[in-house]
Amino acid sequence: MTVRAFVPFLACAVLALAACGDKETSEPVAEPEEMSVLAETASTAETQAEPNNTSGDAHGAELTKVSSQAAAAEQAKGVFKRAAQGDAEAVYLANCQYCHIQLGPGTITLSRRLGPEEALLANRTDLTEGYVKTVVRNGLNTMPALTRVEVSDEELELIAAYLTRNNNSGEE
Amino acid sequence: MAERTLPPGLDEAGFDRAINALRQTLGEGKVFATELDRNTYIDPYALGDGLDHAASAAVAPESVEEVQAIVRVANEHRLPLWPVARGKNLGYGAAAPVLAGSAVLDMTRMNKILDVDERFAYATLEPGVGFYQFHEHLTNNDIPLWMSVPANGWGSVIGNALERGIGYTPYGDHTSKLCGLEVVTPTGELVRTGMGAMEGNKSWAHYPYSFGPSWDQMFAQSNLGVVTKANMWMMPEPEMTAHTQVNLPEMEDIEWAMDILADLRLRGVIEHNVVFGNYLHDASAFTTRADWYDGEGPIPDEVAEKIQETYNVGWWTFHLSLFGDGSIVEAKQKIVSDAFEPRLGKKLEWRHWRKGQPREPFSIAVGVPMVLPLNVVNWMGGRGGHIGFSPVLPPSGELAYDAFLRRKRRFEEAGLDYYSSFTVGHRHIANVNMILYNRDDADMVRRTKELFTQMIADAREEGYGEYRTHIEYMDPVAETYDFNNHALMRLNETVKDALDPNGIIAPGRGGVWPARLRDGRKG
Repeated sequence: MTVRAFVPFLACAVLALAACGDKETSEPVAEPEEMSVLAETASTAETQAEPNNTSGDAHGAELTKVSSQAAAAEQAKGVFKRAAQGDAEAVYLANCQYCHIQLGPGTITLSRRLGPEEALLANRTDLTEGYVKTVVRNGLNTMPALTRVEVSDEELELIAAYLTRNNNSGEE
Repeated sequence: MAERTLPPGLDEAGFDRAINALRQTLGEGKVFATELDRNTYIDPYALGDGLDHAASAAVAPESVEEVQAIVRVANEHRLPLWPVARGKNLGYGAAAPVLAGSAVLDMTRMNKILDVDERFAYATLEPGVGFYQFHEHLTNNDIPLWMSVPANGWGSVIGNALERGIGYTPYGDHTSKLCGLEVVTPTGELVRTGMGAMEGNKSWAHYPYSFGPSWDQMFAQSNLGVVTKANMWMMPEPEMTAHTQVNLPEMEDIEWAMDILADLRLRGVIEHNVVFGNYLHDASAFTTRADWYDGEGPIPDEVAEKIQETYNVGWWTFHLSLFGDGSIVEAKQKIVSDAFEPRLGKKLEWRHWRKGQPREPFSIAVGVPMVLPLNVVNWMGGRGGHIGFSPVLPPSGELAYDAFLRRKRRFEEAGLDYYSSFTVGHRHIANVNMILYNRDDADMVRRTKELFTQMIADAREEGYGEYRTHIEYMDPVAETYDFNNHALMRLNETVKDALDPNGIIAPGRGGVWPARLRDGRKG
């Protein structure tokens, strides 16, 4: 039986993501150097974390608070109102912010699978439109599929375009 | 992936006629009947592949008149409809129907916030309005009313209330905060309950009962109509809140602590539903089981202790909040502290928020929606799911401790991790026994099913029944309500047959089947 050092690392890493999210609320596209800072912060957290860390940094209630704040910060910008007007970023947020926000379930899961630097979906540069559409309609692991009633085909086009906006080549 | 499953009594041609009739009535963009559409309505947390509850199609109205038209077409063609608000009833089947082959009546697009009355503290909403959408509306318009939100904020405000879902502010008994419904009946008629039954009545959202019989609860967890709008009472923003966390180190502590808590709830000192949960809550939200333990069987005690240390929780932990005017909150804080501190042997640490400050602790405790708790489905690895067995208990420490020991033993026999909440209401406990499983592990799914079935039987034997259940278990749970040889079921069936003679609306919901499908329900 082994309690792995990963546990305090994850807690600190997701806190680091939360800090990154604060930047994102005012500046949706994370710059490369921000991502480096994030990775470094997470890495530092890993090496400095005490195995029995009960200082509060890893406290579930604190993490929960961050999760709520992240989504609410987006709502403050009128996500649903802008989505109704066809704003691509808002369409993405209105449908995906539940999980793909700082410390949302999707972000935590992606952090585990791909590392914290790849965890925030809106900052990715390696997604293709085809991949986004496939995942949305079929689900992935514990992510539920989204129906065409919830996300219309037209809205999915906007979401896919938004999530691939930072790609170098843009092609699938 | 999924072959088309047709509803009983309809062949391919008959089903296609029904779908075509819906298309002609509504237009192409509101009927969804491709293989991909059907797949998106499969329960994402299904125990297995979920095809035993596969929908045949979906239809998405945008107005009350369209709901009525759909119901009339469904009657004409004997097409069973499964109404959902936003289809996010995760852990209970999500948007999937009890009866395979039903068409989902998806109300997601009816998402208008029709009215928010600041002075009288209520809102009139369509069922597609989600918690996040509503929260955005309230905060962006500086409306000083607080929502009450459940642990999963992805869903519908009205849908959750109709499921008897709960939140964690003093307005957390959501179904009791409904005040007047507008409903399309199974034959397509439009009715309003409560004072709304009078045309132009000014008190629809103020008084819930009306004159004569009152029917609102008839449409909660039911298959007797399609709710198209509802009034929801809301909590005026309090002047102040106070919050504290109570950790209990030993599993036996539930007995004395529950008695104190129940007394504080009964006397109105604590006014919100309290989640009295075991140590697994935070760990399963932020990590997976494999991060802690890679052996077979339930988590050993040493690992449980490690989890408690890491997250600063006890074997049991609960959070308490106080709401109201400053003097009231301060007085209540003293009462709560005096009640718990002698047994805890230490002071409670309180955090405070006052009107005008950023909302704190900014979570579901103060009506801010999130979906973070959904992360528990990753606990076992693979494609995860959760299902809760939730019998209702009297608010007694002795009975809670007894139920805890019995349920925990069953989890251990099944080789599954015990995850539990004793959610303390005003005069009851909803004991949510959450089974976390990996859908891709056939043996684990089998053990989950056996555990759930066993707990239904155990609880019935002890004199307890569930308040809400997954679509897979609606029949056996309904079966446990057996007073006078299932007199309640006979009443439900009598009402069902009277209001829904063609058996169109949600056959099997709540274990209630229409006459034409009743004989085969056990199969």
